[in-house]
This record gives sequence, C-alpha cells and structure tokens, in this order.
Amino acid sequence: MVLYRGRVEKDLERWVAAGHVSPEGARAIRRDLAARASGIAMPSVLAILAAVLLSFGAMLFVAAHWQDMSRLARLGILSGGLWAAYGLSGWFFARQMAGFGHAALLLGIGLFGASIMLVAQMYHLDGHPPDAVLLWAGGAFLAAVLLRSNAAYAATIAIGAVWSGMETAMLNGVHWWLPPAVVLVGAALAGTTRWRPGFHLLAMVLSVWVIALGFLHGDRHEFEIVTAIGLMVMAVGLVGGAAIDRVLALSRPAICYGLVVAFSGLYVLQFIDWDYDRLSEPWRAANGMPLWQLALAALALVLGSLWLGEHRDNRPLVWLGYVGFSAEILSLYFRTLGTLIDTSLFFLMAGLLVAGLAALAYFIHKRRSGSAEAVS
Amino acid sequence: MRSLSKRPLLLVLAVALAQTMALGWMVYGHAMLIAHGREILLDVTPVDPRSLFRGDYVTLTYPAAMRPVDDLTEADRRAGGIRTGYLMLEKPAGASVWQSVRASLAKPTPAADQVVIRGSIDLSANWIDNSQIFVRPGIGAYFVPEGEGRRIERSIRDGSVQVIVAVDEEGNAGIKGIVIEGKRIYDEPLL
Repeated sequence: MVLYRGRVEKDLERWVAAGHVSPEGARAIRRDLAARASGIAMPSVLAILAAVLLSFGAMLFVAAHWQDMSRLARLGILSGGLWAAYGLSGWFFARQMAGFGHAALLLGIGLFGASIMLVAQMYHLDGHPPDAVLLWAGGAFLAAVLLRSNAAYAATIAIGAVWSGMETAMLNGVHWWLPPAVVLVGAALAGTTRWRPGFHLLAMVLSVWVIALGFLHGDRHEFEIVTAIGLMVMAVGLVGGAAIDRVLALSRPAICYGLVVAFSGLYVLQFIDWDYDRLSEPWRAANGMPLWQLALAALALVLGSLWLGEHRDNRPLVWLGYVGFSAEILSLYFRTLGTLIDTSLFFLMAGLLVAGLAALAYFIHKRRSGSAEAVS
Repeated sequence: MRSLSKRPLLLVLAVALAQTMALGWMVYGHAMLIAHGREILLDVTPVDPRSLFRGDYVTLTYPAAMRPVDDLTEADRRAGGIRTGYLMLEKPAGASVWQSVRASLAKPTPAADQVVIRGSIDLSANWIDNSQIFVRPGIGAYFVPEGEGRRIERSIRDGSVQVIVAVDEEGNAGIKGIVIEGKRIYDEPLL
C-alpha cells in the first residue's frame, strides 16, 4: 500500500503538471488513498507476531519434557490455554477488534499443535509422525473456514507444507496427496476470504512440489515433465485468462508461476541434473539433448515472457523474465558449451538475434503508436 | 480483512470443542490401549536422537521386528512402497521375553498364546534386496526428559533392557514401561 501510494504520488505530480488532472482532483485522490491506507495496522501485526512467539514457546515447553509438573497438569495447561485463546478470540471478534481476534485464533492453533505433540510424547507415539501434523493442519483449516481468518489460512498452508515435506521424506517419492489438499484449501479460500497472499502461498507450495517431482518421480530425472507442466500452466493462463479472471483474478500470477516452474525445469536439465556417466561428453544434458538446444529453449521462454509481460502490462512477469535471463546467461557463461570458442559463438549469435528482436519490437511499437496517434 | 461473522464466539468455541475432542480421542484411545491391552515383554537396542517437536527420545529397535525376507511371498515382496504389515509373536515356554514367529502383509489370526502387532514394512527396492525385512511397529521412540536419554542409554549398554508393550485386538501397540535388569524402571501412568 505504501509503495502504491508513492507510485501514485509521482504520477499525480506529473499528471497535474501536464494538466490531465486538476489540483482539486489530485487532492481528492490523495484523500481517498489516505482513507484506505489503514490496511494492516501495527497493533495487529505485533499481536500476530506475539501469537507466533507464544506458540513456539508452548511447543518448546512440550519438548523440554519438564518433570516438575505431571504430564496431566501439562496437558491441562495446554488445553486450558487453547480454550482461553479461542475464548479471547471470540471476545475480540465480538468487540469488532478483528486484528486481535485473528491473532488469538492463531495462538489457539499453535496450542492445538503443542497439545498434539504432548499427547504423542505421553504415549510414545511413533507410528507415522506426519499424521499428527496433518491433524494439526486440519484443526487450523477448520478455524480458518469457520472464522474466515486469513491468519489461520496462512497457518494451515504452512503446517500443510510441513506435513507434505515429512511425507515426502518418509516416502522418498512423490507425495500425491498435496495437489488435492491445495485444491481443497484453495476452494475454501475462494469461497470465504479470497485473500490473495493465501493464493500466492498455495501457488508457491504447489510450485515447489512440481519442481521436486522431477527429482522424485520415475527414474528421478524427469525435468521434462516439470517444464511441460509449467508451460501448460502458462498456456492455460494465456488462453483461458479472461474466463479464469471472471471467477477470480488469478490468471496473471498463474502465468508467472508457470514461468518459474517451466524455467526451473529447463535450468535443472541444463545445469544441475547432469548424467555423470557421460562427463566425457559434456555437450549433452542427462536426457541426451544437446545443451545448446536446451539453452535456446530457455532463452526463448525467457524472451517470450519478457515480451508477454510488457505486452500485457504484467510487471512481475517482466521481472521474472529478467531474473531468468540473468540466471541463464551467467550459468551458461560458467558452464561453457564444450569449448570456450563454441560458447563465445553461442553468445555472439544469441546477442545478434536479440538485437534483431529489439529492432523488430521497435518498429512494431513505432507503427502502433503512430497509427494510434493518427486515430486520435 | 472482511471476516466478522455473526456469532464469532459460538464459532471459535466450536473450533475449540472440535480440537479438544480430537485431543481427547487421541488420549482415550491410547489410555485404553495401555490399560486393557495384553502385556508382552520385548528386547530392545537403543540409539539417542532428538525429535524436532517432541524433545529428547531414545530410539528403540526391536530385534524381534527383523524377519527373514522369506516370510513374505514373492508377490508380497513386489508390492513395493511402504505397506501395512503384521508381526506375529509368541512367548517360548519358560522365557519371559516374547519372540517373533513370522511377518506378513495380511493380518494373521493368533493362537491363544500368540499376539499380533501391526506396523509398516518398507518394500522399496533398496529394502527387498536385503535378506531381512523390518516391521516398523510404531513403538520405536521413548520420550524422556531433556538430558535423560544418555543416562538410559548408558544403563542399557551395561545391562539387558526390555520394553513392556501393551497390544490390543487390532494389533495396535503402545509402550507401557521399561525394564532394566529385571526391574521396572519407567512405568507409564495412564494419563
């Protein structure tokens, strides 16, 4: 919000100077921004942080296995604290102090987790540890849906990510339950608060899962699949963008996450997942494709995204494009395509090609803006 | 944050109630198991790590849980992944410690002097190549107060140690106590 206000402020000065906006209009816009700026208030932020600290304190209290208090007393304290936290949360909500209400809810969720761990400790439960974390995530999810709490959604997603990570570590394979879980939480989020950062958290968790798929699925070198999934997400975001955005304006970030996943797949193929048996032949990636082909594909992907980002005014996509471009050429520079002279040739050719694209883009842009002026 | 519902207090209490019931259900199940399960004695060998969430614990491995791979049929072994498995145990005449008889993927019916423990068997490729399989019975961790783990471990190295395990009809197992050199050292209260 602060960043946005700064940007509008700069634009306003320019627009007022150019006469697009009257000084009166500029004042009205500033008043409107100031009224909406309350956003996330400091007391709520501190209360949320306090809830997180208290939760970790409770978990460490369980882990310390303090013997001066009987375990029944410890369980009593934790579950009493759980009821107190939820009671406090309800009290705050009823008094319209939603910020504190969400923080107290978060504390209740933390104490629920600590209580689960205490019971597991009491009975030396060692069956399948991720199940306890899943129960915890379920409790957080219930609180999130019933109370329409973004803080509780964030906790649900974070705990759910821990659950999936533990399952993956135990399976040493793909944890197929994550995508349905993401869909479930995403649907609940769409049906309740529609909190955008929550969708971003879900997308990040899912992106990590898809990239990890390449390391975990089949023969553990399946990064073509990762790239294909990323490209598919981008394509869906492009083709179905309007239809998706009518329900929920998510197609633009979806294209960004698709790019990250697709590029990560190509990057691992080129620079990380080497077939070490074939080191004598460093021209090829593990899947047998020549490195220069993959590099060309990665550059095409990145340049295409840059163009798309500019064209559709998708700023994050432009920045991701720049980051991907930098990562690609720096890694290529250090990896080298066979000999140094080959690599040099590749860079020179790519440079000329991109320079040609720049000229082409310039002429297209010039003709467009020219005709636009002619129309107006 | 657009989140003020009409009856926030009722809703948070519903959440608190649901979560407390989940906790109560966990406690009830395991207290019942410890109270009413059949008691058996098993040999253990320990190691000493620390759990991220639950503090210090002694890892217990049960020699009885190691079985020759021939216990499983060829088809069973090819099932792959982590499967639910069962371990049949019996007490040899005159002995106090129970020994394993057989591991299986299907639940066997025990005779009167036998018990069955449910666990998981890792049938991933790296395991079935071995000549032995391991039934993970879900009683592999004994949580101890901070710093206590080493002490137990030391006494375990010096003498013979057994774990008293409670087993119910379904094959669920829970640790009931620890026996060091014939004496019940750690006895687990019900709650």
